[in-house]
Amino acid sequence: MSRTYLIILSLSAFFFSCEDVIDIDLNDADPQLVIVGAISNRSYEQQVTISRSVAFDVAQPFDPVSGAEVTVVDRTGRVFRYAEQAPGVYVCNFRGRESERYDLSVQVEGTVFTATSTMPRLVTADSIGTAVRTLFGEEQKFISLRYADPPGVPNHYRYLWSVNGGPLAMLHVSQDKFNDGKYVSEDLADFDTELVAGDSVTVRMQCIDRATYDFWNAVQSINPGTAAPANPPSSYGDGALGYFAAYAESEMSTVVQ
Amino acid sequence: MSHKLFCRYFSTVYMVLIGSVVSVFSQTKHTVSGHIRDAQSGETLIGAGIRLGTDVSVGARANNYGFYSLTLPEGSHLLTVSHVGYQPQELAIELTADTVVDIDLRSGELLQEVVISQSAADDQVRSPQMGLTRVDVNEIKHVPVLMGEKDVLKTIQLLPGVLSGGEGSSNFFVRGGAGDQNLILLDEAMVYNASHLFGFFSTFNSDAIKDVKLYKGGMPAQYGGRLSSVLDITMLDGNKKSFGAEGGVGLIASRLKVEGPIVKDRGSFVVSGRRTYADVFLKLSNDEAVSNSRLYFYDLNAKANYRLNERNTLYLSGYFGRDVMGYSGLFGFDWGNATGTLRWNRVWNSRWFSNTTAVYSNFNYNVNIESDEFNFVIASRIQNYNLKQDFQFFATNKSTWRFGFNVLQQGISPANIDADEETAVNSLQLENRNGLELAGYLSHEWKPVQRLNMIYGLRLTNFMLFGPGTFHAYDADGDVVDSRVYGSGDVVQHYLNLEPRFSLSYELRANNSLKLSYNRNVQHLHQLTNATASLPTDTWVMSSNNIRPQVADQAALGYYQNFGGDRYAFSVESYYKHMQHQIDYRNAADLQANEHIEAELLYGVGRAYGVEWYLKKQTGRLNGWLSYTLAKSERRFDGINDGAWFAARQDRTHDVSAVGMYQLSPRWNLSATFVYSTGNAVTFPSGKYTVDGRTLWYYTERNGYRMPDYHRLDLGATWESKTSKRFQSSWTFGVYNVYNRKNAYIIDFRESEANPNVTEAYRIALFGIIPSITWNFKF
Repeated sequence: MSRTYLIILSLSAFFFSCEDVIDIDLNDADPQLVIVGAISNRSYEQQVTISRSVAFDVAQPFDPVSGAEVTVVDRTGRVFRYAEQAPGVYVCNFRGRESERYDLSVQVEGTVFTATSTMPRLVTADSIGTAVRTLFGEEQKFISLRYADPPGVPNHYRYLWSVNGGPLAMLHVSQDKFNDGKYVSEDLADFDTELVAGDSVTVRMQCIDRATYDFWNAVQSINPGTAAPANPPSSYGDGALGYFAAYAESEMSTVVQ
Repeated sequence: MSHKLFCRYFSTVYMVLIGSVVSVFSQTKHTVSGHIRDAQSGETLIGAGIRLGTDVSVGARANNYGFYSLTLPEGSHLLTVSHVGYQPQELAIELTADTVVDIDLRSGELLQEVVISQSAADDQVRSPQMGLTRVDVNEIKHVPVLMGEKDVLKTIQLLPGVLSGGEGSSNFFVRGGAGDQNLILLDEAMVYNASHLFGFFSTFNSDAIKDVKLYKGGMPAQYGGRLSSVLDITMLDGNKKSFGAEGGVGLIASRLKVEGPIVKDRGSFVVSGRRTYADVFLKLSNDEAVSNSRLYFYDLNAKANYRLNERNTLYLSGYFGRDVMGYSGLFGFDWGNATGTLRWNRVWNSRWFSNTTAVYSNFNYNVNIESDEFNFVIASRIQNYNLKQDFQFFATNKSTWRFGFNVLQQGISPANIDADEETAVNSLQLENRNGLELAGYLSHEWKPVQRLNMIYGLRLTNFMLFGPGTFHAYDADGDVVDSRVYGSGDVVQHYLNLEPRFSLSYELRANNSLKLSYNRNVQHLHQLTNATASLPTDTWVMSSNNIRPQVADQAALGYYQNFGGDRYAFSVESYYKHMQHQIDYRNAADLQANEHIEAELLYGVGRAYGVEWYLKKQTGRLNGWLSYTLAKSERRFDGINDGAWFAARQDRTHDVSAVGMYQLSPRWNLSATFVYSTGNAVTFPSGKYTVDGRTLWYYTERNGYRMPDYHRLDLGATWESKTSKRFQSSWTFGVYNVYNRKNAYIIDFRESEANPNVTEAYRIALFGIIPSITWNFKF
């Protein structure tokens, strides 16, 4: 869908289109609670951030919520209590495990929000490399990741990268709807980042659950041509935005050829 | 009074029931019938009027095949025959028996101004039909349009109650309805996708078109299947007298039409083609990948007709159009419609006319993805076979019956992915869906008393969705609760609907009238799209065990007046429309190649209401029209906007069009169009928040914001060469968006490049000022 839209956009560009920044008067909605929680198999420190949405024209989009009670319980009944490390940032030291189910509970000003996530099995790529595509006379380099998708089960993936030691940035999420059980070659690229030979790229491939995929897929499928953009589905129900993801991730590095 | 009315009613019913018997006994009435044609080309003239000279309220109109039938008392009569753009003709007849008179009208083009005859002009006052607008194809010729490609679908957007689908778009919305709620017929064949190049050009090549009728309400019972409107387009039959060719060379495309008699005065053919040539410029590129790329569309219209004898005529017409784009070594994408119509007209006697139609219509698209890793094809198709039988019985000069049936078999092949074994994509075939729609209708145009005219009718539709296949049922969350396997020929779902139609006019005085109409329309075919633009890859679905047929009830009231000796026509129509089982989508719905696509749908209701003003100057060196629509269109869905009413995207409060054409000199014609409308209702964020270092927009209300107002001025000029018998040519110059207004096509939001913490809004404007030039010829 978004691909077709890109085609249209490039076609319209072909037809003398122009772009400029304009002023729009937007309403200020009541601040909405945002809870983002993650449990990784690689990290020994797990983090939950709690904040509130801000008005569109506020320059600092993170409005932290302090004083919340955050706990995670696994299937065996182990309880992990989080401590507020910085305003709105709550951490706890433990390591996530594949196939484990985690129940998150967040209490903010007397209201309790809960979410559940089960960490999928880890799928790792067996090769990483540089690929080149020529489009309208311009060479575009991208990273190609290859992996065998496990057959017979729905799999969801999220990709992030860091270029030349820069901050980790999310690229996109994918699923195996059309390539279940196939040997998949995943193209990783970012419109804002042009790769050149010699760039060192570190890629993180996360195996995420369905709810996390739905969240990020809703975010990435909103484009300027979406008829009715909406908030991505929340793991916490109507009271708060955000998601809670237990994911299994692996990291690979390469130097752009 | 009521007794008198009752007697008239009774006697009319009596006459109808045993119509011909009455005329045999009375020996006082006879019928004059025949065809009305263009004297030069032999083209039948749809809607031409024939009226009694002494009493203009007695008359008939030629039907879609130019056939008329008028029953009058025995004796001598003076009849006036007229049609828009033609010189009226008087006809004296001595009626002693049923008489066949074929009438040839001379075009008024030789005169300096467009001739609009009196009786044709006052049709809008007297005709009981409401919500109908006819577009004169000659008028389209002078209206300035984008890139000089004259376009029926863009011209109708200048009419009241019809909204443009967006900048430069040939899509349109009628009275608050959706884009897929318009029934678009080309020679009775349903056209599934009426646009080229993602909507910027319509599939209708104006050279091939004879007549365009748009029904916004009060649709006669012979039409069914869509909620909002019927756009009935008739192709030219071809010149029956002599061979000719005409064409043009424009910025975007070139056109050529060839026509001529098969056997003089008995049969003719016309072939008309159009092709774009943007790809010619691609060929100039040094880059091999670019020069091997494809980007074009074409249309081919062909039609032939042959009169077997006085009573039987056959018509065969076809349309083939395709868009092709491709980038070598990466992807190919092509889509298009093909339609074929075979018709048999039979004049049984002076008062019975029948038409039998067999139609095939098909729309499909193919996407080829080819690269080192991938090699697969996605294909999708929708097609129908349609058999229609229509009868028209001209019982008296005050009563015409029309009835018939149609059998529509429709098949959808939603998505078929065909992949190589080595490719990292699985082959996939979604199950085909088959539906059968049986419809019967009866409609009566009747003038029970002086000043009162009406058309009323009923349409009965029986829709069946057939197996084979697996059909799922879903709960409110979209999860499967039941799956059943049906065999071939098993009925999965069945819907029976009765659609009453009613439209009447009451003449207040000779030149003004009131009209009232009500119609119920039912729709069994739905186009699914969650993007703002309609794309060829949009999925079609039929009514099913999950999707109930869309139903619209519309009531309308209007006032019509002609003044200034019929030079001006004024109308104001107001309507209220209620729509059931409207379709919207879950958040981030997956509408592509999804077996469970019906799980992604939400169902709700809609309402649309408004007032439409229309003032037209029909004659004189300066002619044109002003139209203003004040309207509202809203939807309500559980699960969207907390179940409250919200504005439909195409809800535009004010919509103004002004079209002016001025004959400066015999050679120069100038034209101008101005449009203004309220911006679309859109969803913008009302806040923002951070997730994993990414700023996301916080939305609170569906369609709670407005795009900026849209307005634009276009100018055009046509210069005609000296008319010689052998060769004529003309130049058409146009300027689109004269004052270069940056109308927002898209408004989106992003993090500022200078400071990522600051968010900004930006707009994309599509077309600035664009000049165009077209050269046309005819010989």
